[in-house]
Amino acid sequence: MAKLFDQITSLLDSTVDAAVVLDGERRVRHYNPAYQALTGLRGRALAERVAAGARCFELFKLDICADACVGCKARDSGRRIRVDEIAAVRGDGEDLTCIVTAVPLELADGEQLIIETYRDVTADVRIQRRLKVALEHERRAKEDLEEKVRERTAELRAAQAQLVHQEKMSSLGRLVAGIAHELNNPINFVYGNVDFLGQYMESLLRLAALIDGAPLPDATRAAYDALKAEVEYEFLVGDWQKLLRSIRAGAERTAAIVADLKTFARTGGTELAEADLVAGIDTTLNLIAPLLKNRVDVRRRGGTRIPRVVCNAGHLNQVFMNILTNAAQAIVGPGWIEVEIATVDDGAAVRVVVADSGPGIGPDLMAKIGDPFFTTKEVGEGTGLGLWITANIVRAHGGTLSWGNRVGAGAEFVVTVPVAGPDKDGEAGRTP
Amino acid sequence: MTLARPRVLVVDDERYNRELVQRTLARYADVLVACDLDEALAACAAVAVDVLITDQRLGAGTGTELAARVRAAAPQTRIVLITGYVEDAEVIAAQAAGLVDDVIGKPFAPIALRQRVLGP
Repeated sequence: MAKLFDQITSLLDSTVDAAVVLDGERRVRHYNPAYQALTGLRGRALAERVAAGARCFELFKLDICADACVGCKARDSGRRIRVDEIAAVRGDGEDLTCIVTAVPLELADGEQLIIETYRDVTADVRIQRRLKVALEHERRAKEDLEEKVRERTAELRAAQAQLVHQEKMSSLGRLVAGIAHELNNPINFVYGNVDFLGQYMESLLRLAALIDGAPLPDATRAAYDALKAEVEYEFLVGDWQKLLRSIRAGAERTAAIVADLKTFARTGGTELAEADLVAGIDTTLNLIAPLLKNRVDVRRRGGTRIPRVVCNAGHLNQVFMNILTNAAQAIVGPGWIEVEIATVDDGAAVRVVVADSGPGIGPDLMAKIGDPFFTTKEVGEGTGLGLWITANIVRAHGGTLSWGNRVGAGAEFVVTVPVAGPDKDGEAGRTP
Repeated sequence: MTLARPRVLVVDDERYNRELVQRTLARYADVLVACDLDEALAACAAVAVDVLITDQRLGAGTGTELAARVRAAAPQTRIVLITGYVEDAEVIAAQAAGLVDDVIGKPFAPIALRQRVLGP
């Protein structure tokens, strides 16, 4: 009997882990050197306490001693129990983490014993925690880096697209300006010569009238009348002015289109100059007239006594072109577009509001439509850059662009630009 | 303008425009024509020109370039520039420098051109 007990204590004394043998009441029957170190009780102090019948939790306290005593569970269940990561306080006040095992043992004389061991895993746990923190840190850093790469890639992609778009617009501007100039000469001589054609016709008709009233030999008269019938003289007299009017109208209309194209293409490099926004908007409305024809009613409000604005006129024309084209395309079938131009901020800024009778902007799209490459159009129909570039241009002018829906109507876009132009360090010159 | 029958030199590399200006003024002035800078300068050197009407784009040169040389050689000549781009920086600079007396935008009505060149 004593032999088994001695064998057990001998075994425990030689283990590295702290160990105690407890009786059924949890009084310490035996402890090993490692256990003494845990209690912090030096020399005879521990032996005296043990001899006085100290219980385990009075010597070395785990934080579960009060609520869930491991030894008691082992004793009551008759099974071995192991609990990992138990917090404890060493005798010298140091916080520890332990693995605790409890084994119930019944001696031949029926005495109930509990063998408890305590392995100090404080250092291991600390290292594991640090490792976990370091790994988490690394994972986050990696995620951050990936996010940054994604952002930078998107920025680069957008910047590249803007450059391509800018180059496209600038080529288009040069092309349009070139065509406009080449058309100028032919329009000029068509338009100018119509007057002379009219004068020549009048002269010839006066001549004919003179012959009408002059006495002629019968044969000559007959030949003259026959010729008049052949050339449909009466019809000609009634029609020639209409004919000239239509030629003149055609030339004038072409001249107006050319003038609009010139205004639109006038990128004027990248310099800022005073420009008439109202004229720019009217020009743009003329240019998109084919999109609106007989379908969309354009209501222009305000626009009187609007100061000239320091801006890049070509770029701002592009802004209005984008917004008005979007509005026209949003309207299916008949509808209206309202353009309101007014001064705001005590005359320091000009505000242009473009509203339409279309379906409006879906609430899920409201935040997205300004993103580069976002488009609701079919592949190949829209680049998704229009509104983004529009916003960039307005921002470069020191202005603001906002959008929303009008109650009972469609979308509404509001452009506000300062009359004095962007601040000195503004970037209007670098916008598309 | 009080010129009895002024001598006008019309310079334009576009034949139909040249003819149009000539047609517009022929009843009121002696009209000479030139189609480029060299021809125009040769004409000015040969005879005294009262009014020079030149297009801004002349193929190998510009109207303002011609205006500067004619103004230097014959300061009494009235110089009228015709251009599709009245806002052209070169045109505005020439006006500011007093190199041209009048600028007419294209397209123009013949009667307006006549009044601007010869007076009402």
